[in-house]
Amino acid sequence: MTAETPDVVGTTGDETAAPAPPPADHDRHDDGGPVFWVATAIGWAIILIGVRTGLRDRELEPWSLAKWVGGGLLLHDLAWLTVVAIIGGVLAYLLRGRVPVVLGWALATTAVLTIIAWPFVRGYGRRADVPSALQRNYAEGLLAYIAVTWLLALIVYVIGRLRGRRDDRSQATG
Amino acid sequence: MVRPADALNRAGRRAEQRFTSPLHETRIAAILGIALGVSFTICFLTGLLSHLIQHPPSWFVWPSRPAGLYRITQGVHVITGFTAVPLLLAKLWVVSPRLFTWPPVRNIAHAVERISLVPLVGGAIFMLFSGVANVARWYPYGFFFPPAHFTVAWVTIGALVAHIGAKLALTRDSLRREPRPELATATRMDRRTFLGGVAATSGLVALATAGSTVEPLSDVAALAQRIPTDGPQGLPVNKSAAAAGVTADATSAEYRLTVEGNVTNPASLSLAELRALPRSEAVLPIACVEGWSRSAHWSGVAVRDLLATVGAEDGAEVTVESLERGSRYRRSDLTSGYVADRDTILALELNGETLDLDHGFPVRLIAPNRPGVMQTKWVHKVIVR
Repeated sequence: MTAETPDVVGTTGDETAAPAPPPADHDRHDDGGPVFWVATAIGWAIILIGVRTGLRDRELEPWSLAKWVGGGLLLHDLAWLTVVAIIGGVLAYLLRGRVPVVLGWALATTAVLTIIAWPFVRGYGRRADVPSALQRNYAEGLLAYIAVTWLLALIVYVIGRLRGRRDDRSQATG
Repeated sequence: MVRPADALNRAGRRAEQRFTSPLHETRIAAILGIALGVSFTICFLTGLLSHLIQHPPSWFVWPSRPAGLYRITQGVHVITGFTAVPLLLAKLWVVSPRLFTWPPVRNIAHAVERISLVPLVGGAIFMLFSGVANVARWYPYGFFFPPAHFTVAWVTIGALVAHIGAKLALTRDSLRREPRPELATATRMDRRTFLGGVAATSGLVALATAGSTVEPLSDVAALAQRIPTDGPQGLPVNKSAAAAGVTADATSAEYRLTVEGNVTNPASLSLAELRALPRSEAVLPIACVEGWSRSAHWSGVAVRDLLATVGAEDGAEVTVESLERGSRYRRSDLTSGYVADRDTILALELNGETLDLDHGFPVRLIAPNRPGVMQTKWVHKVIVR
């Protein structure tokens, strides 16, 4: 996981550096063959089972459900990826293209933990008549995990720097 | 004059070329894809199992043993779902340049493959979002969660099968050997660092959530729904008597447990008469579909002993009914295997004390290897078939 911008590239262990060309072998096997068509037929048959199950269930609102599924996709592709790219771009600009990988990891992990924790922290599901549910201090817990994340990132970064210096010294004296 | 198609072509290529990180590569996408495929398959199978247990078709019989099996399968379901969140976000980020592939469709197979991504990505995001929200007991939509989660699970797993067919050869090739130098963009160190980071994030998420069911991790489970020991009599409650609207009926001096149906001696027993029947005891877990579980010591009347007193036939099946009205889960069925199990109990006591009202006073069902929603509370009727 990384919040690194699409424009930032990494080649030197714990730091990112020079640009590289985009990979070119993604599409080699996309043109269809027996495996592709058989899997597609089976897969869409299973999808239709799901759609039929949904349409037959009286407690489901298929149109509303479809909006949530499609909305999640759009939210990710239009909003989330844009935010990730902007943050990565700003970082790359500020750090002149040398964004430590551990920094990207710590940012991304902070984001993931926050996303997962958000409904707990906000207490959307708390009910006065079910007191034994959701009674932890989730804000405190989230902050603790974010602190651990950044501490780990700092440790990894420092170890990487120390190793780099040692390697440089041994090369200079060797 | 510039033709619109040429301009679009150039714009598309420029957009795709903006993604210059070496981590947007096939080998990393393949490894994350396998991890996600395994995660979603585990979630699908354990979720399907939970659905079948709660809504069994005629061909499905769920055994009462081993007693803690459901606790494990549902715990695995929820923990795997949580840990899949970073995996999914990482995978989508790695393949994000493909969103701008130009031309967007090259041929029919390519068009079919891209269309199949809509249910795959939309379904995967919805499954993880709705699953996490369910554990947080948050329902921001108008529809009922279980059928929505179940329906989209089929859609997602179907799209996953189609995607595997589309990417099988590419995945195999990219894992079999290092890509040719002109195609390899990420170094081995880049990959190891990135994938290690994703694994570390998943590990942190597991650590923060698993303590709801893995008790030794409870102290560090900052994002778990429950503290396993918190609740009346040291056991969490999923629905209180107040929430179920049964307080008056459950505490009434007029309370009777009715045993009826295919029996020779129908009975209507007061609480005192129930307490006078032979006792059975068992240590069994409450295992909630939301992923938390906790074992406790239960004491009460074994269903098979109760049925013997009213003259039920061997191999009888039973439905227990709650005082709760208007709930989807007010009734639950016990197959003959469950009825015959000595640990299927109409519990009167929990951890050596009379059942707390929120745990189902005066009588609740407790049986091995079953979801918590089927451990019916505030039982007032036993129907024998």
